[in-house]
Amino acid sequence: MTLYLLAGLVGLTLFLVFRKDGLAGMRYGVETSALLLRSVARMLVLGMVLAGMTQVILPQEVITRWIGDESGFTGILIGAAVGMFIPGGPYVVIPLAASIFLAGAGVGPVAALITAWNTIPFTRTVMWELPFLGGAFTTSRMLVNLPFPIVAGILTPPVYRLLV
Amino acid sequence: MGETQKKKSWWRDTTLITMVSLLAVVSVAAFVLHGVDGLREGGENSLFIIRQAAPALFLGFILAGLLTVLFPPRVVGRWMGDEAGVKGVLIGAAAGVLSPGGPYVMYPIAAALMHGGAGIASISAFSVARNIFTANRFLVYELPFLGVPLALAKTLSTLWLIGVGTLLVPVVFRLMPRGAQEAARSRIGGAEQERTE
Repeated sequence: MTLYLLAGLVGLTLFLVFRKDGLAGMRYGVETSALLLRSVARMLVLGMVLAGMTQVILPQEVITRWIGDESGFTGILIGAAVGMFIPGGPYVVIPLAASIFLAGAGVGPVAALITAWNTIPFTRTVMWELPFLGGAFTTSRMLVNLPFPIVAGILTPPVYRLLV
Repeated sequence: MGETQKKKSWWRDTTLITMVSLLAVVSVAAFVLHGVDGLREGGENSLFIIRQAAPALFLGFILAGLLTVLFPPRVVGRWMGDEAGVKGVLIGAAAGVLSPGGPYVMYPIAAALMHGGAGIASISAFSVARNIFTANRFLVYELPFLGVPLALAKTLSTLWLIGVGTLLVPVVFRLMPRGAQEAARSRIGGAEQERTE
């Protein structure tokens, strides 16, 4: 399913790029892809190995008890807190979130974790946003985004149930 | 974006060192808890994840590269910098969704837009959209690793928050201490004033 969707999108985009810039555009696009891939390939493989290894040591009962499907609002809060303080790029966090999900975490806490890492990440905010965009903007954005992981944790499970 | 990374020696790459150290800690823990079997199981899990994600990852990266041809980041920045009002906000949000690359790409772009005279609302739209939903992150990481139902459910449940954030960040910004606000405003409006004066 994922593959068909992606392949369809790649086909459509290839067509649009060809119509816009011809073969040269297609070559430029694929070269950019290769550069993107090369810049993260090492971390990507490390991230996947880390996720695979973490699965072995993740205590399944603890995960199910604290952030399982039955964990309710507490589980969402724990997921959001973990997501806020988890460092690293998508090549680490998304495979780890998938491992936690496979180990028995609920849809709500996993959605809260990923959303917190996306919207209120501690390290990225301090390291990047504050120096580049300044205190007034960073504080305003953080304050507004603070409830977003909770919203994601509450709304995602019902939508998920509609989709599976 | 990879140029500074390429020039860096591996032992100076803190992200890499962190990852390798984490991997070492987790592997030792797996060995202590489950012995050699734990390591073997971890290796098998990793291979399974890699095999399962590789085809989608490959397609995702191709797509990310092609998108930069359809929407060159520099051109998008210019549209957003020159436009004001609702159009600027919409372009800001679209730029946030479509811009590839990590924080080392996003924040310099946002800062450049700020200095280039883009409004606080456009910057908010760019920044909030970039955080909530990025086409690149969704296609390359979320779909392959989380699967269609979870990736899609999370996205559908949070997409509307881009609108909420874009509306509210400027409102909260106006409540910030006068000094901090003015410091940011002089950056944001600086280029605009220079142009009109």
